[in-house]
Amino acid sequence: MVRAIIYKLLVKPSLNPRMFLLRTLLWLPLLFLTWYLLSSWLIRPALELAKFLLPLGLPHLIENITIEQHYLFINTYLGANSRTELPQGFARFASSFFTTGQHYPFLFTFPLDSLKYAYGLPILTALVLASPITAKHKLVTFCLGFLLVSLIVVWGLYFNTVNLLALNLKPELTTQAKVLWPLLNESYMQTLIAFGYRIGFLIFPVVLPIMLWAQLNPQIPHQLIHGSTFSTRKQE
Amino acid sequence: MNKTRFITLLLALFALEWLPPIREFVITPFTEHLAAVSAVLLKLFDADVASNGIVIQSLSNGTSVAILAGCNGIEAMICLTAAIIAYPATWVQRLWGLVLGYIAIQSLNIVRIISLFYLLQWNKQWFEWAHLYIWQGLIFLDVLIVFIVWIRWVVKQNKQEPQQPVWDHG
Repeated sequence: MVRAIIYKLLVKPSLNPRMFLLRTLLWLPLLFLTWYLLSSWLIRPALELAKFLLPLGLPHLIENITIEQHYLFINTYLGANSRTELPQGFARFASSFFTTGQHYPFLFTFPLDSLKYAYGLPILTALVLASPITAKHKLVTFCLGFLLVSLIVVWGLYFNTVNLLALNLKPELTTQAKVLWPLLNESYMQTLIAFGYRIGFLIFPVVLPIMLWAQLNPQIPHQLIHGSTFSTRKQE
Repeated sequence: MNKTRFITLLLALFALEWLPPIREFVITPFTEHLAAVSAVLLKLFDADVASNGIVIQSLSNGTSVAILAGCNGIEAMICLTAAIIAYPATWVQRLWGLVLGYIAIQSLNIVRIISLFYLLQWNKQWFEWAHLYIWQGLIFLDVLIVFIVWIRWVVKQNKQEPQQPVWDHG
């Protein structure tokens, strides 16, 4: 009995929608656990890319970025006021509130959880593993999916950061951010930021990986719909 | 499925959802009703539950959850709407798909809200884990399944009634 179920689920998978869903759901707990345990490594390329790109995309706002596990720590000098002493050189950004000083820590540091943009990876992997396609095709889909998820993470982290700095922090901080990067004062820019953040948080992380899976394996959705069976052997 | 139409509709509906009048007169009341329905279901087996607006609260220990954007299933409904409209079918078929699809999404969403409400009372770390990563993914997986089941139904129905004009190749 158990053998028959395992055989039907894993050895000779069919494209019956119920069995496909069951296979996907069976893979999910294991993949979510593996993804979380390996997250520091899996997310590293995306975090390194974000570390490089964020200061370029947010001129004058970010002083330094550090990576700890799956968190990106954004270090800024926001929060300084005219009475606060800061190291020499920081007055270049906004002389109205930065003055010189020595050995001052970053004033405003916030951590960003990158995994909330990366949970599409275990879902994509579950769909790939549940699909009766060749190992090579699975690997290609996974690799492209990994690349896509990394880009989604970078998008998410960028818009999360700018959304916080320009819109969601206390007015004292957002005002300073707007002085440092005056473009943030523009209403169209604020709309763009809010839209980019929301779509990057609510839609992209899971919709884009599923779309990629469907795009790279069009025969799977097609056969799920039309109900025919499909085996790895047939495709090979 | 017309992919361009799907992406255009997805972006348009997502932008529409974000407009202040839509938020005020559609999204917020809907979310409040969702919280109320969740609270009613919770009260069936737990009398110490109350809902106020978008907040569900445990009267015994004061723990409360607020249903915010991303937790009300609206984005999943938007995604399903865009997919169903982008697929060539009659409007009646689309309407059935949307109504039953919304019910499927919100049923699972209520399970999500209830499970998260208890997870928070038990362990905040597990709550965050399930809230941010697992449930979000499962809801969209639900959308995918509903969409596939709906297309299967449309294809089957069209085979049974071949005389009806059902394919619009827009």
